[in-house]
Amino acid sequence: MEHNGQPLEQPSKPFASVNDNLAFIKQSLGSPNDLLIRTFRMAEGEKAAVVCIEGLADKQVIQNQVISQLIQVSGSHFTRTERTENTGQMDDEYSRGLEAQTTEQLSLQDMRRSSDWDDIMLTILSGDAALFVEDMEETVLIGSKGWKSRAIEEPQTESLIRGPRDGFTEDLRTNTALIRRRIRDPHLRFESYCIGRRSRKDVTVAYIDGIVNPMLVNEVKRRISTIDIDDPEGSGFIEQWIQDHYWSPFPQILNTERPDKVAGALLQGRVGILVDGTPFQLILPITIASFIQSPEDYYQNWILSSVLRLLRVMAVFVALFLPGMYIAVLEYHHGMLPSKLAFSVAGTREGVPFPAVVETFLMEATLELLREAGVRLPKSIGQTIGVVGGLVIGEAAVTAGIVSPVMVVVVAVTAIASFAIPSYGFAITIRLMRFLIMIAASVFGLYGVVLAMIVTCIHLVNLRSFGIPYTAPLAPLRLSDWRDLIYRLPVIRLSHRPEILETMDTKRLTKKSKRKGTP
Amino acid sequence: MTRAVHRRMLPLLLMTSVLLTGCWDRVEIDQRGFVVGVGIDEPDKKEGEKQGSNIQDHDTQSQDKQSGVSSKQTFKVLYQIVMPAGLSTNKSDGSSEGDKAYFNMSVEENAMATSMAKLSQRLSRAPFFEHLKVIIISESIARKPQKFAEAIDFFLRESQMRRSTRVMVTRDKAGNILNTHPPDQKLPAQYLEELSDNTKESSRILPESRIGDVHEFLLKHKSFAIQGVMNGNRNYSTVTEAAVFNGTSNQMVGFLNSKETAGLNFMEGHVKGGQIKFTFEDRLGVFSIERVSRKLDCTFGRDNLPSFIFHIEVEGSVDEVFHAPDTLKEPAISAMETGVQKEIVKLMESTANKLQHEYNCDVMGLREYLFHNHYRWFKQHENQWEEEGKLFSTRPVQMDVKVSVRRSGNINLTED
Repeated sequence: MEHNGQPLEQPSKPFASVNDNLAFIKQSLGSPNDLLIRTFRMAEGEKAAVVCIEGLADKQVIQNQVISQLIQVSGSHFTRTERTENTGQMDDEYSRGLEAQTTEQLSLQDMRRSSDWDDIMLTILSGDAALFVEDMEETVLIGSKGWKSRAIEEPQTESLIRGPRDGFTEDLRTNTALIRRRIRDPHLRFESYCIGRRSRKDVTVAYIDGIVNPMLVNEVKRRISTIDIDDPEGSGFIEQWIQDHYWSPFPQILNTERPDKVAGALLQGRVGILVDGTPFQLILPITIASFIQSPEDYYQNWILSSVLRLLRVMAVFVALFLPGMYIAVLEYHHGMLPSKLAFSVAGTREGVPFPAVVETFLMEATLELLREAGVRLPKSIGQTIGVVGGLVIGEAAVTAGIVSPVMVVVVAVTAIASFAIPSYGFAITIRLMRFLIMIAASVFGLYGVVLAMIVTCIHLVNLRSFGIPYTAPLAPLRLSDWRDLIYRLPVIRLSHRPEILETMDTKRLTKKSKRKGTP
Repeated sequence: MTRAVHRRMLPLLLMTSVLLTGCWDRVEIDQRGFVVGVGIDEPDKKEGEKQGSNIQDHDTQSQDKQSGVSSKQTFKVLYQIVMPAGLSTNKSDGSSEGDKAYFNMSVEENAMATSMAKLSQRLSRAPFFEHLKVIIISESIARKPQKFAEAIDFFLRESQMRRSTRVMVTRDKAGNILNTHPPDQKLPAQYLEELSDNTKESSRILPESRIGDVHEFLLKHKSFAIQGVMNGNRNYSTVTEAAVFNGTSNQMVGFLNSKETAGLNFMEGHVKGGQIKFTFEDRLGVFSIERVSRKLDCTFGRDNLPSFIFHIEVEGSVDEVFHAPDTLKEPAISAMETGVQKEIVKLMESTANKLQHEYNCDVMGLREYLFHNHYRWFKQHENQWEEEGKLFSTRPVQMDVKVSVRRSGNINLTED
């Protein structure tokens, strides 16, 4: 049947004629050049066509497993003559028989049938192939996704000394597999959503049934279902859409490239959101302590990891307060320094043309500039930027007498401290807050620093991440959660999941001594 | 104006109030004149400008003769101010050798605050006292009634002042003391501060005399002793003297020399280390003190008056003996112990003698002891203790010193 260039109404079901179907697909996609259509006759003579998108679908699979199978195989018990006898009407029995025959012949694992056009189109556009057979009511959808994707590599932003080297990729399937490989629990759930009016991205909510609080899962699902946007732009838009307080600079959802981090979080009773097309997956709900914790803490001896966590806490405070304190002490509280330090600082500042405030803002801004430039540059030049920034600018600024050597030390220590924070998103927030504290310090001195600190604290205790207080085991005091907070107790003592998450299953280990009776 | 405009103005007003009121006492650290030492002298009679309460500095020497009354009250205050650039160690240019890290500037005034005001008229950098280390007061000021308290009032009252500033008295000119320092120390004031802490090395240095403690003594009307500093020469000073102050008049009555200071340290239980030279069997030996415990006891006689006994236990080692017998043998050890013991008793007795009979100042803590342990008796006799009845100077004081030689050194014999 020819359609003479007339636009076709979208039918609810596929047409009986293969040619109609193909015409409809061509028309609705605008005959793109990456649309692959192969029409052929099956062994019995029925007309058939396979439709897929070039580049997204694996042509080998379609050729070897679909086309060659259908062309070669014969011996059907339904024939065309039988059908013609039945008054030319395409009856149900015949159609069902044809389907059964077709699907039987395909030695494919991933195959399903559908008669919904929306579904068919989406499937074709996401890389699968659709098989249309003349006079068959349903379309066979063949899982043939096979595009070029990045191999699993070590996470770029969160590398560890000890720990698995695999990181998430842009491919959702790979990512779910990475988690599944770590948790073989039958209760691990992946619930799929399709988000984005136009981008139609796959989003998967991962949790472990039986551990996680069901109310949390319901809330996550509810919030995800509210997302109505052209394209969720990686996981960023989803994170910003569903977080509790979008005015706050503090991230309320953790993003990570590490599958072990997500797996660990799921086992604690948290929820993961995996988004197709980005290696950054989301963990929620989180507390502020999550930002100073690294998966390495669990791989290492508990004493080491406790000390390292303490170090990271100090790093947070240094990155936050050091330049502010420098300003406050140098501008207002000269008596607070030990005498010798005060004299030597005063000596090094001799001849520096700027007040300490200007000097500090100048150097901190330069530092941020360098860091931003370092991100933009290709890796090979990035090294150069480090040298230029660290040595040349710092050294030259001191010899030129623009800044004092102490300032360079302060800036360097601040920068190093902010790199020690495991979460990049949190480190950016700290960078931002540092400038606020510097302003407060330059206006009011230490008093201002204290005020800024109080304001920040008030803000923090008001934050919530999916109903969980942001400062959780600290501000609503949950002493049992302190076992894995700033210090981490030995494994045998971490017997319970975080209390604040109100999980269904609270215990995660049983000590051997309690089961003395069993052999 | 509408509500919306009001609402829009509010942050603006807040910002202006913050930006206009903030920053007002912001001073760059390199704009501070760090005063680290203060010397208080009597003004020179012959030369130097001298003026009364007039702050205006005409810098003339003609007018000073008339103001006779005010000149009697005038202090000559010497301020030691740090030059931070001179302190920095890594100078690239070679001229750093001759760099001084400080300068002294003297001002004559009859009040400390006005002298500071006058100082700031002369300096581009505002004087800053939070790093003040030492206040040196010359003997002539300290000996005058009330002058001592007047001199340190400013350094206690002013809000920048710290209560840990050291106060010392010198026989010399305070100005001279603030000019001496060994070549390894660039700041005389810092040198003096660290020197006064060396109580672990010498038994002849009193514990450091902080201005806060001195204030306490003055309020309690308790006689006290503070470190006295002596000028050896341009390269060093010593703090092995003690200046004794009378508690009632709050004026200085005299010095204890270095041996008497050591005796006072023993009586007060402040000895932390140091050496004692002793003789036994005509040999010279040096005993090094390691630990001292002190206990004071008193017994009341039939006349209901106390007599005191100091129990001192000293432990230490023998550092040096000339022509010694075998120092591991018992007779040699006990002979050395008695030698040291006699030496310590001598030190303490000479101190007690001087305090009781010459100065009549109870610096050695008898009054304190009675106050704490025999309060009722003390209340009855409080006025007669140092004054009228002079009970203090007539009370017998006994010294009971026990010395034990813990180590006789690495060797027992130098030569056979």
